[in-house]
Amino acid sequence: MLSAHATRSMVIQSTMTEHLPSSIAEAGEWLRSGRTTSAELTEDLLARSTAAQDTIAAFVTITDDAARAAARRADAELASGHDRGPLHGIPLGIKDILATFDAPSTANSRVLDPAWGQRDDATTVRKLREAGAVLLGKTGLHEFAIGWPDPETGFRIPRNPWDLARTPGGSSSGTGAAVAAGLVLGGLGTDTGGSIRGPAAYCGISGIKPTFGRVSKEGCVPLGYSLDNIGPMARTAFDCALMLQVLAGFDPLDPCSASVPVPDMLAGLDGSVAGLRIGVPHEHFLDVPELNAEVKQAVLAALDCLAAAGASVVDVELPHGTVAQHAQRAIMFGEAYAYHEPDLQTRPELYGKYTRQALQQGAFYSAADYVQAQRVRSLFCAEVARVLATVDVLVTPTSLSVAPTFAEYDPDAMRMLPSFMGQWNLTGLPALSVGCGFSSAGLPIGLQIIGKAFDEPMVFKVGDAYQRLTDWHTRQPGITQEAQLA
Amino acid sequence: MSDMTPEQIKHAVDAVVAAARLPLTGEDYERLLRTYPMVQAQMATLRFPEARYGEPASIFSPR
Repeated sequence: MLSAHATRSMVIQSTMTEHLPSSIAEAGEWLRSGRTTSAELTEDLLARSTAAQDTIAAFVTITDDAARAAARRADAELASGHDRGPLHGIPLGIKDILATFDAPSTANSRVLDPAWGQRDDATTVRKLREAGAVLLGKTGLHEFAIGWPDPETGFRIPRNPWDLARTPGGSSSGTGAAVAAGLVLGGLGTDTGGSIRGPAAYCGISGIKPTFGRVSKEGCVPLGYSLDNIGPMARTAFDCALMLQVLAGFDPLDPCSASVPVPDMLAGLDGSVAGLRIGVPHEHFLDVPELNAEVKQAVLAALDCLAAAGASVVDVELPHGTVAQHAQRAIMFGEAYAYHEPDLQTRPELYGKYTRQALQQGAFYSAADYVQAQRVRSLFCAEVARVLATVDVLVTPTSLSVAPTFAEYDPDAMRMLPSFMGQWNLTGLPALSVGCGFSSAGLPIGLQIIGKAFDEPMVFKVGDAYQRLTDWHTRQPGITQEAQLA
Repeated sequence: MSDMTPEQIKHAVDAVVAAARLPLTGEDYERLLRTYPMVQAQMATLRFPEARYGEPASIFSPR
């Protein structure tokens, strides 16, 4: 994948420094105490983001001038006593599949109609701006949120700050890499089968796929209409909760938007899991030979940690986990193919080859396959609801392994592997990934926490409590690391 | 479907590609040949008794 780059040794300087806050919550304290200003913070992060474009390559577009102007406005408002809340003056990144009025939107593709890319803000972007956030730019992604990056498309390929020879995961690769590298304090991702949680796990950060309908999808290029979600990615579960509080809410412009009350996402974040019941599905989600031994060990250790803090960890049965994964893929590929069919027929050469080849497979799924997958969806939703009636959350590994190298990518092999994430797009349930350890090679490992529909506060409660008990989320990519890019 | 012969796979893929009017590179075609049996095997797992007459989770409102 990196053949366009000559084999070379690359040195990354420290990705975080002491004069920068490590979280949204901490940045908010600094801004209000006068320790820094949004303009200073923004200038620092713009400089770091620009400098990292030849290494981490997190951004498609950096919106320097707009960010500086927004930061100055944020500072002026705070100085005048107008405080818009926890995101006021906070630099964030936006996945480049979401529309922004002040920067083109590409979906990392030469195929997307440029006219679409010039439209007004997506609802989520508008909400962030209204909350006072400073948007540093558009972060990179796998083309149309599917497939694998192809350097021949001309777009930069985001790389994992923990090891530049490895993927940050996908499809929200740029946001994951940017947060992990300390280029932004948070950002937006999208998730149809794990595209927020996978990069969160591979990059050692936190990310949540909210309940389907909780966050408006308006202004997002679709992948799977009935599976897509927009959600926050940040260093901590607490920061994700701060962001989701702003993003959540009914939007008449999105037909899938849910007209339900938005709870206080922070209300339960008291550090306690005492008395909570945590269900662990072993079949498909833990007892599978493909699961990396270090990942399994880290997840089991995390469960021990939560049990020691007073939670009850119980085994639960989800016998249709594997078939649910197949149903999610049938729906995702069917819905994606319906969107892309005309372009696949008339100008396939404009897609990167991995994206094109992934989307072409959508032709294999019949209408009967799609309907049957929707039947399985009903069945699995009912199965999971029965289990969740007995526990507060479910816990699984986020991914099978740590981040693979670009050279290891094998799309056919990947299709055969178990996944632990798409099932929650199928059910629509909220699912959060938080870091739960590191491999012997120093690569992050993710823990997935799944909750009941619209019960993100409980998911955050468990994730935040775990992060108060551990320090995985405070670790940052090394001061200096070398990567052989081949 | 997983016990299809290479010839049967080729015929099936050719039929799908023709019906879908997909222009392919040689590499695209080879990938589809490799993927087809896998997709068919996964779709076969969706057909089991409990899911035979279930109500599909389609989203539709008459309002």
